[in-house]
Amino acid sequence: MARRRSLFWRVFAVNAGLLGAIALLLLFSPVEIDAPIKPVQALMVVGGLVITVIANALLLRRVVAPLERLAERMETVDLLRPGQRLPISRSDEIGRVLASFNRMLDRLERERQQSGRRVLAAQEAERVGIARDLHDEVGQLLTGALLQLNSIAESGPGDGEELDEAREAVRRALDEVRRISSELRPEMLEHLGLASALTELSTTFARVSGVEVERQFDRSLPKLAPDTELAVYRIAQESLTNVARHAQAKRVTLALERGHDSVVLRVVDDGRGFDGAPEEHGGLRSMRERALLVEGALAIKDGRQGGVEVRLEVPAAPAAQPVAVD
Amino acid sequence: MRGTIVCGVTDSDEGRGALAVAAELSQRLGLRLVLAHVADGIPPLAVNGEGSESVTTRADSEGAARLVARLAAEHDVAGSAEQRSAVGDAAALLGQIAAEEAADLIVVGSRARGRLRRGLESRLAHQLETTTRIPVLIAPPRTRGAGKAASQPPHRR
Repeated sequence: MARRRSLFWRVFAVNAGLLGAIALLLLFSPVEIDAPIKPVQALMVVGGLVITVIANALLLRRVVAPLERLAERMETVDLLRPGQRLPISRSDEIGRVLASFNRMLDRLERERQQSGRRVLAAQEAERVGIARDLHDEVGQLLTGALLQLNSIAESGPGDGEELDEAREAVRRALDEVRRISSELRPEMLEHLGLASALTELSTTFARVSGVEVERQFDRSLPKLAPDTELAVYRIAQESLTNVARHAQAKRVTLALERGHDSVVLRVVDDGRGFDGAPEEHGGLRSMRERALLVEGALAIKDGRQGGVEVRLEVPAAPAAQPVAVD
Repeated sequence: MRGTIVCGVTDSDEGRGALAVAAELSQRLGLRLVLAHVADGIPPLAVNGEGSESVTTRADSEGAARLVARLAAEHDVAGSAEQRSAVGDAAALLGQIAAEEAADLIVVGSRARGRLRRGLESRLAHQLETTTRIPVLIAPPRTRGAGKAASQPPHRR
């Protein structure tokens, strides 16, 4: 068991040791102080004082260095990058403060994860509700309006040009409703899996943004839990949105690779990259939140050939245990 | 490619030794290699994008990126290894980069302290113990010379 020494005794020991060393030096050294003091003697006294002060500062700095690290960590700690803890190598008051800080981070990260999970679940539920309303209500109304317009066009004479324009406008609105509904609730993900959903997402992205998309999907990927698949899809969606908004890219690579008991998503663009350190807010924070909730590892970094690379690695779903048959 | 090694590199014999070991491991085992250098400096205060990067931090950051690129080129892994750099607390940020890259192993350099203390010494590795749960490999001192020799042209006399 580590011997416990309080901070007070550490500081006291440092100062007492220094004063003791000075006393021994004075007792056993041949130095004499005359009155009035000679310049050489004054120089020796001042020199001794400077050395003592420097030694004191160095020793005390060593004592309080963990507090400086604690202050720095408190200012920079990020709950979306969990696992950052401070090393504890002592058992005095400072050691106990560091241990308390680490325990507080444990608790905060746990609570953050729970609240984040609840928020994202509520967000997804709301998206599904809005998508359903759009598809079932607005979509049906627009389809009805389109059928009516078709019927009018076929049954009677009228201004054909205006009617065609109205039909075209309704068709466009219907397409837009379907697109928004699909983005809000990726049905393809539920029915055909991640690769198909990402293929559809990237095809729509290329059409809307004009950015060329290269897909590199491994043929054999391990199975993912539904929550994890949704996280991968949403992060890919957010990454592509960022490419369209900020990157000024001409080409983006969307890759889905087999990892070590994991699946790796990579979104790499050839755009202008970050201007300095990336400022993480809004979309990027949301990506980190999603990755954290499915125990994924997310790196947002400079691409090898310029641009930005988003790399997400998520764990594969545990393989089903074989069932013993009697 | 399955599995990832993150190697903490520095402009020193120890850092080059770590890079040599990590590069060899990566090649032999077919693992992805990420080189990371954390420059000593003042990190941006805000963590949620509210702060702005100072000129000094920007310079430190660019210097760190250049150093990683130079070391990667010295060890002929510029084409295969990914590169990361950051400014601030070395242990915390190296642990963070390793977590972001889903690393299976972190490799750092060692420092032998005197003839009487032959054990491997790495303050960074000690600090990493508490900032990450990823295993840390301390590159042994004997590789330091090899790493340097491999990376530098022979001296002319």
